[in-house]
Amino acid sequence: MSGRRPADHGSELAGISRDILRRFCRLPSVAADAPADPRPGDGWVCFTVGLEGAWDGELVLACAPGLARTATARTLRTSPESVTAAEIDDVLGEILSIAVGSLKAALPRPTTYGLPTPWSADGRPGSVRVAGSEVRAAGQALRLTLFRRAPEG
Amino acid sequence: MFDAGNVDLPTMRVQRIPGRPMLAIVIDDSRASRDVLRRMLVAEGFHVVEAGNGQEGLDTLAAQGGAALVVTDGHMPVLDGLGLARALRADPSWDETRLLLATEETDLHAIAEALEAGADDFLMKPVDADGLHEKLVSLRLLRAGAA
Repeated sequence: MSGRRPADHGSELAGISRDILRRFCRLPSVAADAPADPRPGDGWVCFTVGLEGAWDGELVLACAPGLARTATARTLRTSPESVTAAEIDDVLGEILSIAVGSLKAALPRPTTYGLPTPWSADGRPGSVRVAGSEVRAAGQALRLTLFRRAPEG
Repeated sequence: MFDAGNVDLPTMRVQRIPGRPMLAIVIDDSRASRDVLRRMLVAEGFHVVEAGNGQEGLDTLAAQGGAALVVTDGHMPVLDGLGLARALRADPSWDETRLLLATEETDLHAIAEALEAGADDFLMKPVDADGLHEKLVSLRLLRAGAA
């Protein structure tokens, strides 16, 4: 497989996000019209998974704080008030793991991926945003953004 | 290691012992995913013990003296699902243990590699209860229609 066009990756990311929110977190969601870049800060929960091989880059998840808490509570079947920061990190990291595994079939082979780690905007210099998606659940956003590292030189 | 129940079981084999739940070991580095699988397996009548990576899962298997079922994630620190499958199948003590890979991996080559390494079957994440039930039936751990 040679990989798909960026627009295809965007719609694929939105579909993956909605499927994970519905089946893993038991949360209905809708796709947003204007996908935005990841937004670290303001309490947003941001994780990245590195991609290596035929696709060198990363997939970044950014989730608004209210949705991060709600999604965690729904997944663990507890109240939003009782979830801890570690539980939020665990659930959002798992959402990203499932997302990158789902996306992998749409990337050129061979591409491998690692484990989720916290993300900051300046984490991978030289990476270019290729595609992104935003879905909204419980009134807040979850974004997935696919980056590709520009070839050196 | 996270013991999800309070039933103390000795050595288990695939055959169901009347009046006793079968033992399942759920291995995943995500507590949330372990939690989801534990709920589903308990609903199917299993006693569940959890482990956070493949090595911890092997240690748990040995400590329990066997298990009817091991459900493992693919991507984990320390020892991943592929390594776990190879280690488990290298030890004839665990020949009767069914190994189910619960993976987010959509790359068929990676899934085939895990099956060749000794996994009996696989499930795509997010795992749903109906899909898990079908796999338990196909692995002959449950009868069709039984919960």
